Formats: sequence, structure tokens, C-alpha cells
Amino acid sequence: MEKKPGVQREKYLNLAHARTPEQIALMQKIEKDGVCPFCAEHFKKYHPKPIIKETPWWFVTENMSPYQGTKHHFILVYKKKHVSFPSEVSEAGITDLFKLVAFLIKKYEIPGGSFFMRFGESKYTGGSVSHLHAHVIMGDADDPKHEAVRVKLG
Amino acid sequence: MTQTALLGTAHPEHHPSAYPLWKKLCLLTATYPGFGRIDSDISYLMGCSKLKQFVSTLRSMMEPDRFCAFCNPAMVDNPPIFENDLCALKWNDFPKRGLQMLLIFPKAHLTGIAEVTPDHWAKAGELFQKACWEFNLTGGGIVARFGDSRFHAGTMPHFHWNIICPDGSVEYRAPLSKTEPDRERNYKRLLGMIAEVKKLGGYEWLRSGEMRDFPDD
Repeated sequence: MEKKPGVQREKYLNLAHARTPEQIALMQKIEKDGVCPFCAEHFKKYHPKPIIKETPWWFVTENMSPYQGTKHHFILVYKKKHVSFPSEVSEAGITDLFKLVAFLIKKYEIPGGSFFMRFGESKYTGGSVSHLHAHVIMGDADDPKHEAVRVKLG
Repeated sequence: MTQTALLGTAHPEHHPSAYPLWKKLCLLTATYPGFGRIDSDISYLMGCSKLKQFVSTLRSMMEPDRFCAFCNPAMVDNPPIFENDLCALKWNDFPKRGLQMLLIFPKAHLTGIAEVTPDHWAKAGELFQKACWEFNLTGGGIVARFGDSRFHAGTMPHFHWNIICPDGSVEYRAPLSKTEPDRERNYKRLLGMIAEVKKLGGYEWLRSGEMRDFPDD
């Protein structure tokens, strides 16, 4: 999606919710470029991790800035178009999402974890990128020193 | 199954702090075999912050057909608002300040994500869309926990999606996993809850299905 003056910051990115210096630096560059980093045509340019799986609806990859305390942290990015609500995804896209979550659980032998997806206005979601994406997270419970995983909302 | 047999199937090396708690739960619930199978059940109970929630979760594990709040909408004050052939949507029984909290869940008692089909996800999506329109949900998060609860922060074995929408007055952090200090704190809290339930009549009281308002609720 191309730049639309005056609305791009709220529409694509929310720097206030970035967590790491690297993330802030990258987001500042993306903001200058005026694009959505998760839209399909830009995703591979800004996301350094390899794509694990790609379907007509979703990219599956590791999060470039995994939450502290996670053993696994994957993101599934909607690639059909720029949306921020799961209700804008077709039924086929939703069922495909489920299959990809099952794929990750099987491939990485995840015994238990969480599925997490923000939606809508970033002031309510705590998200840094408004483009619809889901997280699959496994807390590192085997490590007695691991941090609790708590994701920001609002 | 005897208590001795139950104790013999524990895996204290996987979760050392759970062992004495697990023994207490076995004693509390008599011969219920579930707690002998998986430490994960205990981890669900350790996540319960209120006595009413603990009682509800424990009962749903003991006899889901009778007590699971998702499978038995008639037994709760807060029944589903919308439903379709596979899923239902209701307000969360344990809401937090500053948040709109809804739950979408399969109508069948499915406890593993492997039992949840793509059709369930599609039907859950249908209810989510309806809730967005009905309650003007402009932003928030969807959280679903799956599998062994030692690796997440769930409190209810029946698979469900949490819809959490902050109203802007609070910064909420949804727990997705817990630390050892969390576990130790929760362990102590749970010991207190077990003692309370024993005072009320223990296993027989749990099976009676009686509910009451507790001071912490």
C-alpha cells in the first residue's frame, strides 16, 4: 500500500509500541519510506527472517524481535491486502490460518502455547504494525530463569 | 484407581513444585484419575486467581458433562449471547476493569487444538464479526491457548478464544506464559483455595454443584 499523507503513521505503524532499539530504527526507516512493511510487496524487503511457509493468504516466519521469555515466536502475516480486522479475511483465509497454526505446532513439536492476534486501532491494541498478523508463541517454561510473556493491549 | 496408583504416575521431575499440590488434589477429589495423567491440569488450576474460578475449573475437569461452564450454559448466570451450529459467544465470567472481554468457544467439549477443526475457526470468525458490529469493537486482541498449560497461561481446559478490548483507560498485558516466581505464588494461592474447598465439604461439596459467592469474588 502506498503513502497517503497525513494518515500513514496511524495506518501503518505505531512507534510508541516498538520494543527494541533495532525495531525503532527500522520502523523510522519504514516510516520515511511511507509504506506498510507487512504488505506483500514490501514484506520481504523489511523482514530479515526466512519465510517458513507461504500460502495464498499468509506468510509464516519467525518474529524478528521475539518477545522475551519465548522459546518459539512465529508470526503469520496476511498477504492478500492491507487489512487490520480478521473479519476482512475470507472464510478460506481463516481456515488456512488454522491449518498454518497446526503446521507450526507439528513442525516445531510445540507441546503448548498461545495464539495471539491484535485487531483494529493501534491505540487499543498495543501493536506496532497495524497490518493484520497473528502470533504463535510458546513460553520457555523449561528454563527456570525465563521471563513471563505478557503482551501489551491498549 | 487407588491414590497410591495415582501418585505413582506423577512426573515430579517435570514440575517439582506441583507434586505435593497434586497429591492434595488427589485427596480432595478422591479417585478422579485426571490429575494422575497430566501435570497440565494442575497448571490450569494454578492460573485461577479467584476461588469461584478455581471451583468452576476444578468441577469442569472432574465432570465436564455436568460442570463445564461452556458445555452447560444453563448452569451459569451469563449464558451465550450468539451462537451458530459449531460455536457460541458469551461475556467472560471474570472480567477485568477497563476491558470488554468476550469468549468464543466450540459448543462441543474440545480440550485439544487438534480436535478443533478449520470449520470451528471459520464459525468462530463469524461470531467475532457479529460481536464487532453489535458491541462496536474497534480494537483489541484475540488470545487462544493450546496444549500443555505449563507452556501458556490458560485457566480453562475447554478450548476457547478470548476477545479482549481495552477501553483506553488501562494498559493491559495479556499473560501468555508464566515464570517460576509466578508458579510459586500461584501454588501458595491454590493451597489456600484447596483448604477452603475442604472446609466447604471437599469432594462431596464439589460434586453437589452448589455455588456461592465467595469473599474474593
